[in-house]
Amino acid sequence: MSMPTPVHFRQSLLDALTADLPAGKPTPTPARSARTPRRIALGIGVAVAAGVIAATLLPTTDDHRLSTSTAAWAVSSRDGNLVDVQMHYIDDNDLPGLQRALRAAGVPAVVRLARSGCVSFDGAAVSKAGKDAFVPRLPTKDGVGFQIRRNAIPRGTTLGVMVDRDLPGVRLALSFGLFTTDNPGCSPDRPTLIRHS
Amino acid sequence: MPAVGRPPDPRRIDRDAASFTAFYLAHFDGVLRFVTRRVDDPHTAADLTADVFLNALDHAASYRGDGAARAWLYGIARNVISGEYRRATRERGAANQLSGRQLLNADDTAALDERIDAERAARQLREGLAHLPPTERDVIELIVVDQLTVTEAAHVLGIRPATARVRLFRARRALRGNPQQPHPIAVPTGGNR
Repeated sequence: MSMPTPVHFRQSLLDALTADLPAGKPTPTPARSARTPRRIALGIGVAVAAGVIAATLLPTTDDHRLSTSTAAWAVSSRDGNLVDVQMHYIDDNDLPGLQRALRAAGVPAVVRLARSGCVSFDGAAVSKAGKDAFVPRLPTKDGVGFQIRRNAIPRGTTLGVMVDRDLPGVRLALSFGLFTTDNPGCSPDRPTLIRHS
Repeated sequence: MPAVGRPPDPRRIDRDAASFTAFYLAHFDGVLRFVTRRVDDPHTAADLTADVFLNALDHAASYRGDGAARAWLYGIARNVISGEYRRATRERGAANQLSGRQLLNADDTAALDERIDAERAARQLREGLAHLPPTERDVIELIVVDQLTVTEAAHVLGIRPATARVRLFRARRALRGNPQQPHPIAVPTGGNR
């Protein structure tokens, strides 16, 4: 039997608990081959009906918050460090604007749409310190989102965001990676997906 | 729907927000279900749920990787609900305490009320076990009410699976021999799950 979820409470509690977390500590990980991508496997999807939602999330009620948005996405930065991104849907026409908005918010970002044979990034390994650079947000009926912590992005690296619209039953899925190039390569392998409905 | 893919390792959850987020999302619903099977007030349920995850963060290093993360977390939830961690929480100081009820809005409270109502049968089931010796009651409660396996229940209670099976057998025997049982209880017949 499906139980109702206290959605606001779930997100508020998560926010409160992660706000108190210390900065990431490096932890030993198994050695990887040079060919193996060090993708940080944070996929997140929304299992809701597809559709265009012409709403803008993340209203700019805070004077210290700077926001850029379209009907497809919203980028909002605050405190000189945190950048919130919300996506309602994405197509080819939306990518350049979203990438520009992220860069305007101080995030060196590359945004791509997954295509056949290119569903995630491949590329050089980066410092484990960068794994705190992005935190997925709980999906809502309006879309998916994540938060970027600019201070956790190692200097000289680029944040890759891959948007995948081709997963069955999922409107949008996102995967991320940090790369030492601003033109990371492609991989046909999907990262681990954390899926919510 | 629970998370799919590799289960988040509890040992990492206090080290970075992404690991904790994955762990939290995978277990939030289960913890809420565990709590609402034991309390019938939405504010208390919110406080306890917050305490469970706060204690999970505090005790992440205690996870030894020798059992399911769910069993480890339910062990924490059980201790939180029994009040075992209450003193430790007080001693952490007000700065580190988290009031779950203050995070609720009206929709959350309504959702919790509905869940609590839906779990009424489970709470009555627990009440029906009250006459059992505590060690036997603990095992059968986790198996019958929370649908854990014997191995998971053993892990939650910090006992060997063989010991859990013996206690389950005794609890079943006691329940069958109690015709005054106020609520019918479906006792699992297999003890080897």
